[in-house]
Amino acid sequence: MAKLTTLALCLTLLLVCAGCLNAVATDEYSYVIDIGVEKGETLPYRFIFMINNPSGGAGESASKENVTVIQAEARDLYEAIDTLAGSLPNQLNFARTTLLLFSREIAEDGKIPDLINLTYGKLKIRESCRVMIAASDIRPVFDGMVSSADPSMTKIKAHMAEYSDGTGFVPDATLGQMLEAFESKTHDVVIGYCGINTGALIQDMAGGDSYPYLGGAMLSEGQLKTSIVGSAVFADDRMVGILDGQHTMPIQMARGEFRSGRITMPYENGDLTLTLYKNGAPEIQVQDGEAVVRIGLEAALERPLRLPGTDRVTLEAAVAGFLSHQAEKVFSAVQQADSDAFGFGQTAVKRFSDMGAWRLYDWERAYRQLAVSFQFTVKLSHDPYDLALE
Amino acid sequence: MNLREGRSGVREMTAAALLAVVTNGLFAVNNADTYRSGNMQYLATVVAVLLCLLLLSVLERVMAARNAQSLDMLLTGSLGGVGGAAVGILVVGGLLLAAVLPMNRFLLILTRYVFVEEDLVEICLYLLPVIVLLAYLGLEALVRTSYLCIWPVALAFVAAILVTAPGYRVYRLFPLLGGGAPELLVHSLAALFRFLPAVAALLAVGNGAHGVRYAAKAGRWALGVGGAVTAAIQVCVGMTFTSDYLQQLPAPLYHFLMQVRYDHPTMRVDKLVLFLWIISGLLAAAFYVYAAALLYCRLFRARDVRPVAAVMAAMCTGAMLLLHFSSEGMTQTVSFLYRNAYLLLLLPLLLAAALGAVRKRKEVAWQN
Repeated sequence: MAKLTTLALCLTLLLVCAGCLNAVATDEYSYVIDIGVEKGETLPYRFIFMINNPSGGAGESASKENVTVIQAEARDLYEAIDTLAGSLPNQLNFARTTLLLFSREIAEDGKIPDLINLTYGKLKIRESCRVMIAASDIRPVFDGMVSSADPSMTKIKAHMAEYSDGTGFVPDATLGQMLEAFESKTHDVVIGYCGINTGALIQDMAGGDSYPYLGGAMLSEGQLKTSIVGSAVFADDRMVGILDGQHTMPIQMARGEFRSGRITMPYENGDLTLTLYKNGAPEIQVQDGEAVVRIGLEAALERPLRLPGTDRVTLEAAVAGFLSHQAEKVFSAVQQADSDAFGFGQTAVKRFSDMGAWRLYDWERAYRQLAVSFQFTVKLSHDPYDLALE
Repeated sequence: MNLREGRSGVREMTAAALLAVVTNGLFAVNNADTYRSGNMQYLATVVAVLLCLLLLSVLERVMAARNAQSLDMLLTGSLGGVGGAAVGILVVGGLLLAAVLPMNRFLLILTRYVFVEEDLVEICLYLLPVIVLLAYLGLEALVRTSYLCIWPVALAFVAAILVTAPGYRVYRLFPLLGGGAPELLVHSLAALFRFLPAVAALLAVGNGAHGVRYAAKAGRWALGVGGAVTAAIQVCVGMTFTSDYLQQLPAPLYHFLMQVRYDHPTMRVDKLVLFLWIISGLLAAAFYVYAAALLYCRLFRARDVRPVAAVMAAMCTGAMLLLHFSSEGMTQTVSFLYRNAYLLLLLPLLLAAALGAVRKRKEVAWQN
């Protein structure tokens, strides 16, 4: 009897807890799947919402016709929502918002913190929501992301995470990571940078000419007009530059967020192409104005397949040297822009046991004078590519 | 007499106390104050749990020596009828406050992130009957229900730790000592209020646990396991958010759950886990309300615990609503309560233990 009573009580508890208050049917909502923010003409900002209207009910899959873009100029997001709510047949729902896109202009002016804060939680926008910076106007970027095969952009967003893991070319940053970096002095954030692929050059802060690309430094023409270009580098809450994919890779490696990716490097009279794999966590030491970064990688040689007269040790040293040079070049560029994109502050803070001392410590000044040495250990592996050496 | 104590085993009592320890350990935290000088919550938890274990051991010895089977017997035996009742009222107040604070946090989570457009009172009215019913049914039903729910709740905590693991970064815990040893002491004392109520509640319902010895045994298990779980989750939260960020979060534990990436299959786990946490919170609140009502009945010779429990549950719900009023005065009051509420329980328990020990020594000397 006691068991029955307690079981009945548990069931009652569950019923009470799982109930709906003021339930609204799924098809009475317009789901905002992406939010874009750029400078407005009359009011400070223009908010652009890509919305999905499941007109046939919860079970209906999205079609391209159901995805629409609406926009309003306003002083903040809540004002934009209030403005738009009056001209929509359904309630706006942000529970499925998965992408926040800011224009480059807003990011460079350091306006993002004014636009975004913790009260977004009230709209049910999660901190795991992806953030990106758009090179051009937001609306064409949104239009360029939708395809008939994937109108809700679910696949392209999943692809983004895989692309980040598989290439190391682009960071997959979230709203939470961005907000943390804005508040913290231990590191600065690096965010994915996307735009309409016009084939025009981008100004890479580490030097060199870069084209918008996917999968290597080459011009591309894909199914979508919008493509990932590289990464936007921030110093505190302000965007200070752009890095192309191959220049983003050393940052990803030093932060331990690199898994695998391909590089092409000059060797003797030609080019070598290698696939790199993470080999253990990076080690970073920061002491007395000097930092040492030790990164272990495995490498598989792809092209050329045969290198007569080259031994393994020579080639490993050459690859390590090339990667060190690349990393130093990128570090020099971000350091000049006052950005701790590599996250050396995360190691520096570990030397402090007292929060007061850390807060008083002028890490930004120390970072400006930091001398960094990158030490790569490359191990050629993955048979049968070993046969490339003779 | 209708005190509805019944008879419960150590495992059931441990389950009820464990839920109370973990719920209060994690949710009765004032984030703005707690993380101002860095993150040392997990250290404060360990220190506070050790202090509580020490106090429990002292109280157990004194109560055993005085043959006091529950807290009211110790209070009246050590301080006299009037003194015991006066000091006992402080303990009753402390237990009710311990029921209010975590439920207040759950209410905040529900209104901010789940039922966003709903009225606070309406949500409160869903919580009140559950607390009343559980406390009304009495100790045996309450602890047995806790025993049934302990594994789903444990699973919810394990799920929370696992699904958020990819976001853990050790550097966020640094500087490890936060504001240093003096700050650690202040936070540890404040943290006492998260664990002392479970000790006081267990001793208050000692009769239903076959005596103080078994109640203390359940308390040791609950404090040991609950303290370890609480500290472990606080370390995980500390590896997910920096202390600067934690200060601003209204509900770090729920934000902790919402870190799961959109494209991950475990994304919606947060709602399931939250509702299991709320069940744990309701059981903990009912446990404290029942213990407070029982202590009140014994001290003031009330014959039926049920109306007292119902009134106290309603008072707790009212206090939950009151704490949500946003005003400068209320913010300061809440902050004061979080910092000093441990005194409500620590002073009466220490006083009763000290006087009880001294009087016992005198009685032994007189008999000799």
